[in-house]
Amino acid sequence: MNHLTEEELIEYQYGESQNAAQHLAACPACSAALAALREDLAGLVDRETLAPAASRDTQYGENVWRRLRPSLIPHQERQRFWRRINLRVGLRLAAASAALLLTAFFAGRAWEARHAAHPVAANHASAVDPQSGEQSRERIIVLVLGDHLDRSERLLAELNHPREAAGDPALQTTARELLTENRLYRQSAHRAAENSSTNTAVSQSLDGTLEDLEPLLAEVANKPNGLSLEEIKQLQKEMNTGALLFEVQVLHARIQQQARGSVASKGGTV
Amino acid sequence: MASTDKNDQRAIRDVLAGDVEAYRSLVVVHSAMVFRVAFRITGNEADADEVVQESFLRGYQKLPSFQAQAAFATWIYRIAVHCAFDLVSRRDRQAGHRQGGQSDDEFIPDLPDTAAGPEQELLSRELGAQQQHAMHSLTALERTAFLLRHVEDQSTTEIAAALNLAPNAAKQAVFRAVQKLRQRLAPLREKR
Repeated sequence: MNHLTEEELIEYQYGESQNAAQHLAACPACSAALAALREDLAGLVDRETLAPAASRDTQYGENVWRRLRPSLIPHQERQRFWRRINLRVGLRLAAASAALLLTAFFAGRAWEARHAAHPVAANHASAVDPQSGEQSRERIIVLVLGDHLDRSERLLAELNHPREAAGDPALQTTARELLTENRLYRQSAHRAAENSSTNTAVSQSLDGTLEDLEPLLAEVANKPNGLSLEEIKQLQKEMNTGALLFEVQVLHARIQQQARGSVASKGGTV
Repeated sequence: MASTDKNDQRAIRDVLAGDVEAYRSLVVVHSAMVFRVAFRITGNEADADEVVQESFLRGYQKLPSFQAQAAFATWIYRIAVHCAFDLVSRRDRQAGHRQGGQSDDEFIPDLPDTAAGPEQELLSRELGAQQQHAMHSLTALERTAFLLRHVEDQSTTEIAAALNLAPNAAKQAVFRAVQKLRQRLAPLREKR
């Protein structure tokens, strides 16, 4: 007969296993071992010695609450705070990534334009920089810029309807997000327009439109107490939001069209 | 109990809706229970008070992750066990540094003055001191798991959940604790 191990006895003692019961009933040695274990455990830790000298009543809870209360921030504020932080960080990251992509794109275009003047070098370059990479990069640029222009269009369309704009609680938040992105895109487009020796029409147009858009976004974003109906009407008039919307729409369409043309002609320039 | 649970659930909903004051009822109702388990694990009132404070703060911060079908008492109990365990682990590490690696075998408990009273009383006091010494010879994990099992009547599954362990690891911690304690106290068994 195999006797029970100490582990099995402990398990049985704490009610974690009933498998040992039958064996214990038939084995005096294991029964004695269990009795010794029980005796040891009984004397080991007395619950009374683990009771604090001073009792803790309801008043104790009140004291805990008094000490705790100043550290607590309402949950909705906490959520708003983290959402704001996350949004800000996320926006900066997104804008920085997009700016990097734009810079790389326009730098690539400039590099390619320079090498086009030297067929041998251009052939070599095309071997190094495969067409598929170029196409996917253009798709990314169109996507990133397209999203920015799309959101700008919607904001401008909203400002052209002052009553709707005045009732939109997210108007200023959207304008702040667009302003951050716009600055980065404009700087990239500006650098590209300066550096590119050929085919700068789109980058110049992009630079110009983003430059026109920026003051309006700044005005909407930075009004300290929100925008009233009157203020929106005034902005609409002073900054000619209708014309600006048209300008953004044309640029957006042009970028999409030329990107499609570029992809179709397998490496043609934007 | 059911009405406490209902009140707790209502308070939790209010807290999550932004009403900080609603958390007061949860603190007042459950503080004594949290203190009890904290005291049993830490072994002193000052540390237990610290654990209570920290547990309710962590509880407040984690409240959005609280599952409505669970009881708040069970949930805050687990947080308290975890806080208490963290604290005793920290204390053990600090004590280890202070003792400069002195082993448990070298640790000499404060035994009572042998001339102070009758033989039985002395034996009892010596036993108490040795038990205390034996408890301190356990690791923080073994001590906490053992106290939860032996004093708090928690199952292996509950201990594992409270200490973020696999059930088998929790079971082994209890086994090791009991084995070590029995070995330590074996010489005293003869005297009883």
